[in-house]
Amino acid sequence: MSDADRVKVPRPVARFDDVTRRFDGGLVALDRVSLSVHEGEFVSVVGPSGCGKSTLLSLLAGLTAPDAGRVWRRDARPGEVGMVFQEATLMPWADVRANVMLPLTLLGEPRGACARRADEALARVGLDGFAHARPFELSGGMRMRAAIARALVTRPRLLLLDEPFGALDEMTREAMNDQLLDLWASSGLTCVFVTHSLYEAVYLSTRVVLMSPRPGRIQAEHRVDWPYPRGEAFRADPSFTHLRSALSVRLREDAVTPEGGAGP
Amino acid sequence: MNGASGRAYLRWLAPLALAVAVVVLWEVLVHVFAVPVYRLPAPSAIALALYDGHSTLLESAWHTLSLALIAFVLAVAGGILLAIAFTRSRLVEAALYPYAVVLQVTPVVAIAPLILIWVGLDNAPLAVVILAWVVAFFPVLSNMTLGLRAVDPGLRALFRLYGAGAWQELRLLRLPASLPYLLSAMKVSAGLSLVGVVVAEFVAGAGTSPGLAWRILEAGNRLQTPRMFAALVLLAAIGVALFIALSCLERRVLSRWHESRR
Repeated sequence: MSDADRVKVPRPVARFDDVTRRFDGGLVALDRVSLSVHEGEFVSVVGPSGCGKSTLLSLLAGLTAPDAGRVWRRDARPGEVGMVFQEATLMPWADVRANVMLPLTLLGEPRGACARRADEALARVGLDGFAHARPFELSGGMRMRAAIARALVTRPRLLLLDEPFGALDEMTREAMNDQLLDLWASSGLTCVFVTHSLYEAVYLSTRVVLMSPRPGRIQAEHRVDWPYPRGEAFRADPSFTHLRSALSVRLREDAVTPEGGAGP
Repeated sequence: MNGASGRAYLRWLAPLALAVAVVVLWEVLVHVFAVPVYRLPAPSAIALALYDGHSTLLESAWHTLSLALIAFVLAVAGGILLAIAFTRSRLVEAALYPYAVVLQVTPVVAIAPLILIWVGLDNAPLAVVILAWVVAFFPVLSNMTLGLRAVDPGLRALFRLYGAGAWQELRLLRLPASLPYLLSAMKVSAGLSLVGVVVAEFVAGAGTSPGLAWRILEAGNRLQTPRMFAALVLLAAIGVALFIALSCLERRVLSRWHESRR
């Protein structure tokens, strides 16, 4: 009985308690945000630009510290969290393998093991055979896959993605979405995915977090109860369209209200 | 493809054709107007002077080139090291940068006699190297400082995410990222070190330094204008050779990480 309970209640991997963070100029980027992320979840954070969703991610990564409140992460050692940025941010002077093994190099792993694990990570994202290619020789989608391989190379438990597919065309983007879901489903990863696309958020996530701007606050959370693997059946289902437009209405309401209220 | 290779030819052919045309016109005009040789020698006279004096002139050219190369290498090394110190410590930068600027804006001719006194008159080559270094090192310092700072913020975040130390960040991120800045500074700096050597030789050389600059002064005093031109031709050739060598190096290194190879 108690065992069954433990299985049913997912353990938290990260938690925000009343976290406030200001920009350098003093403007409030995040205002008393509380949020829990549980093991195995795929959480999307959606909101207009300026709602602090990227700030939330960099706090979660430990790259910045909160001005008030507490950020807690279960796996706090370097390499236990992976991050994918808006751009692929590959080192242009190094080949794909050297780029992917960078995290291991920085963590001081032995060289031979680094190369082997980099090749494994490349195979997982379908880039085997491109180990010696230079970043400029790859397409945008392939560069992003290399960036994902780099984030996965340390076998992290938590993967943070900051609008990773924003610059890609729609076809590539949908293919990348499915690939990411495959990786997530096959590895027991927990993902936190920042995007401004509700379409992407609803399609990918177990839970969608809506944020509102100035100051950045969490406005609503929605569970998405559609079984994985999702694929075209979900994209074509009325419930997908319905949830997407309902969330879209909420986002728009919130984008309008504060400006209307604060107007002259 | 035809158009591209045609344009490549044009880049060599156009200046070459212009040079031939100018030389021919020059030769003809000097003869037609009977210009005295001490005022403007014909290209043929310059070629003859080059041939006649080739053993002395080439020796001088080698002397000038080797001093310029030494100054250049020291300027690049010093510029890189100081730039690293600048990026590691704002205090070091705040303290030293104004003096680097002072050194840069003070005309090298003006400090030459001073340097000569310090190193001793019998040490003219050393004085020349120091003066050329003063001229050549600033572009490396300023460009390299810029390059070390102009690192993709995403990559810096990535390095921090994996707990990279300052040394790792310098070696694996900042140094490679600043390579394009360094290479373009090196092209400028190589030319400046040659300029520095010639200027320093004019001031400090006075008979003790057998470089090309001294040959020009010497020939000028004797009104051997063709020989002056011959030395000038060699100086220009050295400058062009340095520029081409560094451009090739730049192209080779950067072709590995840029699409803009051409």
